[in-house]
Amino acid sequence: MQNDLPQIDNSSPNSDELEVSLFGPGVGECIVAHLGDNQWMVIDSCKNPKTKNPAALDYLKEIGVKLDAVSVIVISHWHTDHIRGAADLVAACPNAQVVYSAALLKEEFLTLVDAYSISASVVGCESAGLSEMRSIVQCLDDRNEDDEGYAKANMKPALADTIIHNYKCDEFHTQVWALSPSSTSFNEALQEFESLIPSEGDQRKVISCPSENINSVAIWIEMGEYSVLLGADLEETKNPNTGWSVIVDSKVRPKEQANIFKIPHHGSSTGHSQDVWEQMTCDNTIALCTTFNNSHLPKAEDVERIKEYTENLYCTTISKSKLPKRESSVERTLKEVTKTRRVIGGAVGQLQVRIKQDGTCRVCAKPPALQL
Amino acid sequence: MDTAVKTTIEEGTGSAPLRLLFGADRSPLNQKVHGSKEARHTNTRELSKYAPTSVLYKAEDRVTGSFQLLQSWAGNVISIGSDSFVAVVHDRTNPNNPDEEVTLDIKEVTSDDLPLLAEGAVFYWSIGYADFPGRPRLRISEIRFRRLPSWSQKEIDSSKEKAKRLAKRFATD
Repeated sequence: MQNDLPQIDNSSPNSDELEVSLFGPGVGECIVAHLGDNQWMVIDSCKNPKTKNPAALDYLKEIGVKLDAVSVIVISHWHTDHIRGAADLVAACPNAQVVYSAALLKEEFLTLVDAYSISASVVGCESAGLSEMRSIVQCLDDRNEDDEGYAKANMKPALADTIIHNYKCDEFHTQVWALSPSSTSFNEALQEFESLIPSEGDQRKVISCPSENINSVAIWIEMGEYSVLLGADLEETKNPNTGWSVIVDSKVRPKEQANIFKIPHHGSSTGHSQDVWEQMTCDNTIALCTTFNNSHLPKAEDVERIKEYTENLYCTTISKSKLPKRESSVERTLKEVTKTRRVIGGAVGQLQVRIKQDGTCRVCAKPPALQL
Repeated sequence: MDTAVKTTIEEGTGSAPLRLLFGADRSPLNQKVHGSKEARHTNTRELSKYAPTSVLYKAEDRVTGSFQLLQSWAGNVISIGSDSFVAVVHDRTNPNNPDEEVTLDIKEVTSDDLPLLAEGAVFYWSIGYADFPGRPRLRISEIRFRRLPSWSQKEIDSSKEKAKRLAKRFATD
């Protein structure tokens, strides 16, 4: 492990400079990307535990970018670790097109969101994922109330092989693609959401996120000669109609190889696809990863496996967060009563990759981010 | 006829959860102390088997004490194993503290609450001191699962109606 990466550049990038910044607080993930000419994209959201703000908003403020420069916000899926603070993000960026995994604004999922939001007042707590989605839906509903044409102009469901952003100028051309979910994944997601809707007489509870991530939106960015593959939490299902298989086999997707690869699903073996590494990334691609401390991802064997494909592997955080100190009687009791205990989330590490059009590339880190 | 409420303290090995019920009426006090395998509520006739460790109270001699809360969490279960369960707990005493993920022994759950232990189930977890007059102070960890009202058809239908309206409003084609 190497901690000697240069510090984050706190100035905004040049107009023709591609930037991908990955944020991770141990449990959580957010990507901020510069698409050229001060156009910004934010994918997913996590919160800075110190400021309580979305990490993306803190970063953009730090480098002097106004929030009306955010052109696209992507909600890749509704899992808690990818969506904390997303409602604040959507509310703060009124000019942004909101791109979302297509199933998330269909009746089945909206029923789930509403049913559990009513239940939350009775239960006293709720899934952060559903809570954020409820706030996002409210914000979008209010905007549609003010402007009937808002949805058609500013909201876009993400499905495989769709272009979600397209910008051309004399110096470069930027395209952003949604590579997933496939139509099969979309339909399976709808069925899954339908199955989670409570029935009369069911015991109220806090909803658990389903474990498999087949509905997650993977993103491809092309800016000039350079490409980026952002894998979200998409998993390899071995089903040719879902997951990474259907992306690799797509005849429509861009055929370049990515210079930067945000490794899917925190480096887990379920997110790994050999075909993706071999066909969609260049040799020694810059590989970025966030941890998921709840499942100890990436595991040591995951890191070993990834390093067979690239020497340039970076992670937003690796160390465990400190437990808050409580009075001695409480600490003694906790030692007696708990088998394991860990903080969910901690200090936000950041990896900042900037590539100029002449090919100059720089990887900077804000601790606890480091090179593995 | 002896209607006494009694407490039985049994010696044993291994640790057990400490739990106290404050009987507002004649409901039995069921007390486990550290080191006991289990506690049983016994009737008067069996009392003599456990002398001199059993203590007899008359029904009118209610034992009232006080509980000093040191720390409280609200939690929800995220997975259940063969002898333990994992939960996310939110600090109610100091909400600025981050959420934690804890693994707890299933033995920490009382037999009354075991049927409620399920993924997504919600509980309160309290740590504090219990003081009874004339008794040593007890340090207590107590997990109680919430008994929540079930979903009604009216609520589900209302959510479906709202979802239909929103999906139509959000249509982009």
